[in-house]
Amino acid sequence: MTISYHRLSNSSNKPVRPNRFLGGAQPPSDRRFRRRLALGGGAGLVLICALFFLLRTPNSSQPVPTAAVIAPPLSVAAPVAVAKTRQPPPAAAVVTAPSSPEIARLRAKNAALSARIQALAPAGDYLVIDTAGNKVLLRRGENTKAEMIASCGSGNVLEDPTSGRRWVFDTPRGQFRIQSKLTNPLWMKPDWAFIEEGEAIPKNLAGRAEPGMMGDYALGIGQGYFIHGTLYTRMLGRNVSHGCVRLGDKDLEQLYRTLPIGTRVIIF
Amino acid sequence: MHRLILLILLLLPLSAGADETADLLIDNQLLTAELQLARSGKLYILFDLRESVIRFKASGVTISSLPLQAGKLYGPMPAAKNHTLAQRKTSSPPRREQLIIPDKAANSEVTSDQENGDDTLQALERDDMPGNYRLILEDGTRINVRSDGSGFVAAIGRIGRGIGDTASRGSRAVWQLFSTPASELQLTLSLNDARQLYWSFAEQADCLIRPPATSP
Repeated sequence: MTISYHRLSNSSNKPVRPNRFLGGAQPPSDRRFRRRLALGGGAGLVLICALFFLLRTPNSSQPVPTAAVIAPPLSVAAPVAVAKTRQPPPAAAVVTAPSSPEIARLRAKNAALSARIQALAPAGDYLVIDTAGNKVLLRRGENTKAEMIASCGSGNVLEDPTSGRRWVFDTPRGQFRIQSKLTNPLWMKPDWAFIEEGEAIPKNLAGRAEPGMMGDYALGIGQGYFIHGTLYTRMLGRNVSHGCVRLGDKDLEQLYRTLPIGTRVIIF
Repeated sequence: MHRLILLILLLLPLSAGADETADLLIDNQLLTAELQLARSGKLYILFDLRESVIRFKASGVTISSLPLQAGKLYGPMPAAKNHTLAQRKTSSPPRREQLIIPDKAANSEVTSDQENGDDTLQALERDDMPGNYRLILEDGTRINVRSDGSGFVAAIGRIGRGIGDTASRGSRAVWQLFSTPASELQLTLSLNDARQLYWSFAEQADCLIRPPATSP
C-alpha cells in the first residue's frame, strides 16, 4: 500500500487534495459545491440525451397529427384574436380525456367503414394470380379452393431493329374479368412472335395461325391476354411466357368448367 | 410524495384512453382512404405495423400477406392517407434481358434459351429481385426493407446492421434538426418476402401505412 504524504508537505505549492487513506480531510465547501454541480450537470445532460434518443426510438408515442379532431375548437365563428388566445395548444388536445361514448362512436364508425370495404370484395369465386410465385389461386372470400402452378411473363425485352418497335413480356397487373371462354383456341401469332424467331412477318392472316399451341381451352382477360394451356409443361412454375398465363391441362379444364364469364381475375 | 403517486395513478387511465382514441382516429382515416382505393379497383399494399404484416389488397380483400420479422418507425407518424410509391432505390437493381434475334438468313445457331429447361433461364424472376432496398413515397416517407438471411454471413450482417443502426440513430436525429422531418420505416422480412415485395410494389403503386399502436 502506498500512502501519500503530499498533504502534510508544506513545501509543495500544489492545491491540497484529500487523501482517502488519511481520512478526515474534506475539501472546502465551495469546491464540493462545484463538484456536485458538475456531476449533476453531467448526469442531467446524460438524462436529456437518453430521453432524446428514447423518444426517437421506434413505436414511441408520437403526437397524432389529427389529434385536434378529438377536441375541436368550440368557438369557430369567434374572432381570430379571441380564437388565438383561447384555443388550447395542439398538445393539449392529445391529453384531453376522451369520453367512452367518443370511443364507442369511433369504433362503430370504423366497423361501418370495414363493412363497406368488405362489401366491395368479389362475391363468388375469383382468381388470384401471383406472377412472382407463378401460381394461380382459385378463391372464394378469403379461402383458397385450389392452387395451381402456372407460367407468367418473362419480363424480357424484344426490339425490332427495322421498325424500332419494342415489347416487354410482362404479365399485366391489376384487376381483370374473364371476358371470353374458348375451346380449341387457335393462336394467331402476333408480329413479335415472328421477329423473335427472325422470320418475316406474313402478309395474310392464314400465315399467322398456329393450332395446338394454347392447349384445349383459353380464358380471355382482355388487352389480348389469355389464361391458356401450354406445350411446355416442364416450364410451369417459371417465368417464361410472353405475358399470358400458362396452365397445365387439368387445371385449365377445371377453371374453364367452373368459372363463368365476368369472374374477377386479380393479378399481382 | 403520496399525493404525487396518487395523481400519477389517477392520470394514467386518462392517457390510456387518449391513446386509444388516437389509434381509433388513425384507423378511421386509414379505412376512409382504403375505401377509396378499394372502390378504384387498384391493387394496393397495406403496411400494417400494428399487426406486423404487409398485406397485398384489391377491392378490400387480402390477396397475399407477408409477415414482418421486425418493423420500426422513426420520426413523425406517417400521414394516415393514401401514399404513392415515387422511387425504389437499391444497389443492385434487376435488369431485363434483351432478346437476341436469331439471324435465319445466316443459319445462325443463336437461339433463345428462354425455354431450355436449365436454371439459367433468360427471364426476370423473383430471385433476381434485391433483398435490401429503399422505397421512397411521394411525401418523402422512406421505407427501408431488409431481408434476414440465415448462416454465418447473415449473422455478421445482422451485427453490422445493429451497430450501424445505433450509429445512424444519432446522425438521423441531428440531420432532422436541419431538414424537414420525414417518417422512416425499417422493415425486416425473409429474403423471399423482401423480393416478393420489390416485385409487386411497382412505382406509382398505392399503399397505406398503419403505424404501431400509441396505446400499450
